[in-house]
Amino acid sequence: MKVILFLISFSLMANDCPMEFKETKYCGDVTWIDGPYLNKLSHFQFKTWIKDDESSTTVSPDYNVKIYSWMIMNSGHNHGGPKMNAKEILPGLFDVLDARFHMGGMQGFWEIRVDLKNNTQVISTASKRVNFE
Amino acid sequence: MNSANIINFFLFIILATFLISCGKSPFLKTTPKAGTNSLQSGRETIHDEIYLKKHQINISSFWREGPFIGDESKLLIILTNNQKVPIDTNGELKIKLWMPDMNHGSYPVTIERVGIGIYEVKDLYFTMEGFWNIHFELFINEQLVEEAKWGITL
Repeated sequence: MKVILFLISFSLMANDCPMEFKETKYCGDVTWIDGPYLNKLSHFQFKTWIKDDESSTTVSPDYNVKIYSWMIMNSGHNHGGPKMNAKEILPGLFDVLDARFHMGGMQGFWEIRVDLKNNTQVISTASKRVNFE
Repeated sequence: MNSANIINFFLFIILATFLISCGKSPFLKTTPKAGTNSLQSGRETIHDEIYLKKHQINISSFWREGPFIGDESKLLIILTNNQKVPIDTNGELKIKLWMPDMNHGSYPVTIERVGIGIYEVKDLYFTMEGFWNIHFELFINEQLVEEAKWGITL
């Protein structure tokens, strides 16, 4: 019973911070507005908040935010995807209207990756797998 | 001012003009797009014209933007017959990117007709460094009837 409770609480903790920026105080998550799709435009939003904030109120991080796609291939070869443009429409809420995913013969999966940067130096990176229906 | 001084003065002006104007014009500088890993090393390796022999169609191309890695590149292509007159095809022209070493393609390319024989090619995404083939495929009745390709190294 204790083990089950532990697993449930652990699971809830994990869900509180779907994309953890370990080197910082921030959490993040991706919400799909339209998509994700293969071979046509997808729309999502990414938000950030402070880890200990139970209300998950979005806050703009003290870093530059870079949002991009990343392909993890079964062959062990990884690479980026088509560039996407993110616009911070509210503090801590980023809108991406032009996410593009494709498989084109590739075996593997896509991730949304987010870098928190100080100028050009990446301070922390978090990712979330993209699941296509 | 004697004549020697006048000659020296003009020589100085001419020399100064050459020295000042020897550098690259700042107006000719190509600035990579912000936030992109712009690589243009492949530009010179591309033939600017290829030929669909069976259908006697020349395809001339001009990079409108790029080629870039990650960011969108754009091409303008012009189809001409053997008399160099712009023509449309009987079928449908499709373009795809393929990376033979990695055995995979990229995001679907968009082709928009802007005039007789003139097409704007958008959504060209070279997602990584390496050798890419740009395939020009002519479809008639949804059947691939002819294909030509360019190689480009980014």
